[in-house]
Amino acid sequence: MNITNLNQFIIPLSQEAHRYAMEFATQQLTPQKGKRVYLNTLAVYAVHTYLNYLQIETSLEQSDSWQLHKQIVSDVDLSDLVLPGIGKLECRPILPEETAFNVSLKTPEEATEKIVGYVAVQVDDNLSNVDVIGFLPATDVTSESQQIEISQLQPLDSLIDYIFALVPPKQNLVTLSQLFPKKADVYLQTLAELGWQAWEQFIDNLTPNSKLAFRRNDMLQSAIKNKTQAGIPLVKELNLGSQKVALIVESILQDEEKIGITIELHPIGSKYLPHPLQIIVLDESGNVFNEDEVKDYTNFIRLSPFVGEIGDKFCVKVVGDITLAEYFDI
Amino acid sequence: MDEELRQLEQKLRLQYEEILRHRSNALERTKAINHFLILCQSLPGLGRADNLAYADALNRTWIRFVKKIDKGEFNPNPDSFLQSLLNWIKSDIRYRIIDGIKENNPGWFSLDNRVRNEEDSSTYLEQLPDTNLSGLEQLIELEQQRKINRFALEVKRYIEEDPEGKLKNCTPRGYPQCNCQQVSQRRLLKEPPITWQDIANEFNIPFGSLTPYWSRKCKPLLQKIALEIVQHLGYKV
Repeated sequence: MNITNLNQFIIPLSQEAHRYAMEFATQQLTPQKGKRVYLNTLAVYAVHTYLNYLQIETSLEQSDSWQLHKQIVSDVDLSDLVLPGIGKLECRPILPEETAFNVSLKTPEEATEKIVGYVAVQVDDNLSNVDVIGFLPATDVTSESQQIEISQLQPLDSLIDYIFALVPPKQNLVTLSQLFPKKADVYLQTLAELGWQAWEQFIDNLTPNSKLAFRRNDMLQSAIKNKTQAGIPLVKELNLGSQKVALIVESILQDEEKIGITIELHPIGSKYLPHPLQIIVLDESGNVFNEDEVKDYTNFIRLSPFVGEIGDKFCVKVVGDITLAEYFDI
Repeated sequence: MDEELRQLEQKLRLQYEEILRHRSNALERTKAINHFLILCQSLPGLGRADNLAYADALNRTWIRFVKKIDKGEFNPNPDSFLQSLLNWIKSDIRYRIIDGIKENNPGWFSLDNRVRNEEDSSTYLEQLPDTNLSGLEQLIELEQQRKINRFALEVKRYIEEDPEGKLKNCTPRGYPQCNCQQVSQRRLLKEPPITWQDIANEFNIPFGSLTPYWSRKCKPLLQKIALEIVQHLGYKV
């Protein structure tokens, strides 16, 4: 599909945006700084509004740009927006005649929270609307002070990618070490709400049709027999659109700090996994450390086992017609 | 329906299906919603707002619209996707405009305030088309004069008078000739601020000692003082 201009999101500036901007601007030590604060406030408010459209949580109250006492004694522009649990975005207003903006690395004592990146906000002359036009990840800023051309900006999709990469949705996070202590049963109930089941439960809960289909699937049959003794397998049904599959994550306690993990993917209601299909395991920084793919008729996939230590995080992605991701920590 | 609109309807329809397809993948779903809203913005009347009341309403409508999609409550007629979409959005905007009028409470700065306290004086809103970006500084100055910005005045006075001697006592290690009051006056009260290099030369202190001193010692001290003033004035944003 050819959609043009997907990189510009119009934000109509509400009365509230102007109210904040004027309120902050009037409380500055010089009128010139007042003007900069006015525009910075509009930029921060616009990015806040944009992310709220997309249901991404922001906190104006936690942002330095929203604290009068920090703003008034700051000799540099404050235009940060806090995304709780993720970090901050620096929101930069760009005036009509400008084609670039400056970024400077904060000294460690100034950077109270991780800066995810810079969001450019194009201001038009009548101040009724602004356009959120692009994003630059903080990792791209290397020198102490750097000028960024608008043409260097990445599309808004990239901003969304960065934000999601930093927030493994907590509600979907499975903590494997919690399967072992005595509270495991309670934890299984919590996991059930996320669609995860203990192995036995999973088998019991299959619909009669699936059960029938599944009985025909010798590989899965043998898989059951092998489970139960070894470790604690968790199962989740993933709906890939064309077909359902079972993602099995089996944890084996090695010692107090370490858990061995085996990941398998089995078809449900069919003898074969759908193809093409890819399964990848990523570490916290997004690096792939384990993967496999289905190119033709395949009964199941078992990734080579790996060991995780307390505090490690990883993500399992299943890429078919639809991409699904599941998040774990040890 | 003209050809352009028909093509847009087709794009919207496909993009909406994309949202539904990614029901269980928050990342892809969010991207799909982003694209869908950008497409919606190219519909007549749904892009740029030309007044504040409409901007307020449009903001609220977009948020409500995404929630509606999320709950699976937006069920457009497949035969007239565009019409269903426009009907919902436009009707919602009308209600949000009415909400806005009901809630409108003056207080703070309002663009409906009169520039001078006289009956026949124009309002900021009326001035806004003329006092646009280029006139912004002037508008801020007007508002600064209209209202006594006690907070800024108090902070300025504190820096100038240093009533507790805290600023003078805050000096970089080994350079007693330089202190927080002098640096604040040069960085915060001058426009444009005196450059770091000039300040370093003036007080004969290495540049490399000056800026860390500013961020580690001066700024936290000034923030603390400013916070006390905010609290003392009972000022709330």
